[in-house]
Amino acid sequence: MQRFMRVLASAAAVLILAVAAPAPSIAQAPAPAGAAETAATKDVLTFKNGRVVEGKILEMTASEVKIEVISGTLRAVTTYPRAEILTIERDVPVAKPEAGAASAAKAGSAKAAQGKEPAKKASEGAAKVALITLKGEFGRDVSLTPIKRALEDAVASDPDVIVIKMDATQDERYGFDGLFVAERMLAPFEETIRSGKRVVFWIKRAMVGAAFLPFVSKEIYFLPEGRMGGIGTLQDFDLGDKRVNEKQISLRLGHAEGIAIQGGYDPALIKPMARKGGWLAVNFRGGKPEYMAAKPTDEQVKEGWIVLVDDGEGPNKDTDEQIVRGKANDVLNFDADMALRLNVSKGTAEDLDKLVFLLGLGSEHTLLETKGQKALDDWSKNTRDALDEIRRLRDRIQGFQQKQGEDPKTALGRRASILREMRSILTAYEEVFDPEGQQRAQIDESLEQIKQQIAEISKRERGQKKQR
Amino acid sequence: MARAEQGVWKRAAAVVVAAMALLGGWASSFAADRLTLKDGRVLEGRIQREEKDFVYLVVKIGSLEKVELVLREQIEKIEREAEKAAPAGKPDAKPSDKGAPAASGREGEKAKPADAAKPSGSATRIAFIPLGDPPLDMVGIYMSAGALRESLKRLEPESPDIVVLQINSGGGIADEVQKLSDVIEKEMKPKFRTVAWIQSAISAAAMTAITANEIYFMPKGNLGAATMFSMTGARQAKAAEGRSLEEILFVMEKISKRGGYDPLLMRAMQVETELSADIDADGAVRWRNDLGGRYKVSDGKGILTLNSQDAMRYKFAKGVADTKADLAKLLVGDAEWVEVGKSAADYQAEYREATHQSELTLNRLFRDLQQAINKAVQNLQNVEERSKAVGQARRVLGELRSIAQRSPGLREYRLPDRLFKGLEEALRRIQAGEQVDVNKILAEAMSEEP
Repeated sequence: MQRFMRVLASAAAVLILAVAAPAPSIAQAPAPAGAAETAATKDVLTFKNGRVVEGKILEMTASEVKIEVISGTLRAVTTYPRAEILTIERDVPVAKPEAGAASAAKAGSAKAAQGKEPAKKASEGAAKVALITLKGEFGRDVSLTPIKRALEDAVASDPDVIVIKMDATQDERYGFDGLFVAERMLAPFEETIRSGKRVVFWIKRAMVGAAFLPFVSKEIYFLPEGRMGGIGTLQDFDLGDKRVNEKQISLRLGHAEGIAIQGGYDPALIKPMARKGGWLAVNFRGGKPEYMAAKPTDEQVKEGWIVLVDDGEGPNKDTDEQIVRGKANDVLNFDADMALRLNVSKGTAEDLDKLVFLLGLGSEHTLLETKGQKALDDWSKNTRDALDEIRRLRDRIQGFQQKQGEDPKTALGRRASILREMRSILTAYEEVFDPEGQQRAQIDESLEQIKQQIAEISKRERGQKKQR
Repeated sequence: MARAEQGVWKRAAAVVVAAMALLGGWASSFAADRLTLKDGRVLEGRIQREEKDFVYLVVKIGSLEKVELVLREQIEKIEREAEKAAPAGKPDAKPSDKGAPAASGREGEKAKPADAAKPSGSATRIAFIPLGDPPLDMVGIYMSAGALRESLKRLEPESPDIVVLQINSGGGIADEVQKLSDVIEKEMKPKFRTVAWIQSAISAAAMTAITANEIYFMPKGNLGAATMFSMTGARQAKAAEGRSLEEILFVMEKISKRGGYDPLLMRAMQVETELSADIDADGAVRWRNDLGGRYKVSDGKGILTLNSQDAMRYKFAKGVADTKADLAKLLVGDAEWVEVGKSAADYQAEYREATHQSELTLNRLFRDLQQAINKAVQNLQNVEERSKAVGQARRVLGELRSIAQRSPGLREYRLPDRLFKGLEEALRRIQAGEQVDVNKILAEAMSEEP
């Protein structure tokens, strides 16, 4: 059986060297104290957007500058395009920092990030961070309207970075088609990014439709326990005709690959995430992953090719134990480690302090207080209440009966009133409960029928009066 | 407008200036130095540091000071220790007049390209017509030849040089493809440089798009999956086969030639077929209907959809652009351009919304119509009741007709003329007291729907 872990073991040395050399992660292996830590000088990059990053330049090419940023015990290696850099200053003398200042600021801001106490003011010049947490059921708690509000509010607070913490999943029955729910939410992120704001996704849980949303940003980071995926359902697509199925699968992949490309990710990753039955192998050349949609030969395995996803056939089919242990590989899902290795994630950060540091924004930050998160939380509560109300109203309609001795027109009026109430809730939360308006069109039709029934009863009554 | 300028530094400067305008500027006592930028904007503050290529300017917004970086190449003039710092709100300090939005050239910002600056008479005039906006994107209903033609009428007075069809559609009715392609081929291409800009062009939308002179993609763009099929039940579909498949392949071949594409490519979007390509040293792509080429494009088991990377790799697309400004840059280079044709673009949005609202009422109107006709048939012996019911049916028909007039797509595929003709005939005979099978008439009329 071709298993990722088995092949990984045989090629571990190659992999570790290949991955670790260009982008060592502080979450995986803190770098040993080096010359940069003790040196009395630093290198300074000044970017065209005014941002300044300090550290020790490790490597410069015509197109990129790789710099190790160090602050206290934190260190990270980041590569920046030369095109974004205005000036490079080398060996600038370092002024000694005041002892304890950075760590105190760090402690304060970390607690604030967890929402346990209000944000403490970090020192002047600290990075300003707007944190938006997208939590709950994707498509209901996490929806376009509150996302727009939250982003607008975040932008208005003029942050250095907007961090989108993802902790969302979706009913598994959506499967890959959660994509279309995600697509409805892309626009405000795209607009914010186009406006020049830095938007970073930080993944705790991004499953089913929520897995597509982070690809909108060029910067994805993971929490150590982060998971992203759960969209491997396209093989189950069935409209009763093989060619039509292939068409539907193809167009879905086209949409999803497009989102990946827009965010700067390799579209080759999408199909293995989406559909069982194919192979995907990876090799790291110069630290960059290269993919092959085929089973590697023994020779290729020796060259360093590693199976990420197998065909799931026969002995390759994931066992329950493998699924439970997170070792399944019939489709591609990302944990923090896998995401980092495949350049989907730029780093792993267990708290906001570390994330901000990995972002190259220094060792302290000010967490901006914005109203956007409240808009999301309110929306979440309100849609849950609305759902309860819709269910209650549906039960009332299904069990509706004319009361004994009740005038039939009054009974119809009562029924119409329930329908109108339901319609108004569907309108208020249309993007969640009735995005295409079909339910409301049905209600309108029912209301029209009731109107006609009432008119007919009235007419009959008038006729009877005349006869009397 | 002046051609769209890009660059992070200009956007950054634009943001600063916009923020200043919003917050009402800063205390004049603070403003000591003044930077006049080449685009006419003026920044005031205190120069903190000057280097060969840039200047750090400290600006004050309310009680806050903020350091901004301004590039030398952006600066026309530096006035130090200006004796009279211009108070906020002075005309020369207004960024919104032209500078700030024009600096980025992005969509959705405060000014459209046409507002940003007065273009010279020689500026290239570009019109953008959005076709499809999911979920209102069905070809035939929401993306129709009739509606496109109406937009073209509105474009005429604007005399565009380039018309960009922004396509975002998941496909629809196959019969509309030829009609849309004909409008593009015969009514657009002879007059304008016609460009398809692809966000999503699936199925019938893909077949339509390849008629254009040039195709550009958005980074997230996709085009393909053109397999024609019909629904045969709930979640049951049947792909076209036999003669209807041959017919659609013929149409796709014809339209491929209109756009200058190899028909093999569109075939791989319709049926499972092997497709590979070789690319010459001069960059020319040669398609093969086997897997012998260097690039395996379709393995013969699936249906092809191109993403923006594939489209560029195989020279299917001429470029990838995320915004209008990006696209204009690809289309006209550094030359000036101006966006025109807003009413033609607006028409498409209005048309889609009106059609959507009409669609939602169609079920009700058909039900009302059927009820009125049934009532008339049941009262054949009661002249008064019969006439009243026929009158009611004709009123509903009038409503349906008015919908058909507003929406070419619905007229073509939901409310065809033959339906009205059949119903009028039925009502005439009922009015005359004749026994007719109305369901049969309705069924016959609607069975002719494509």
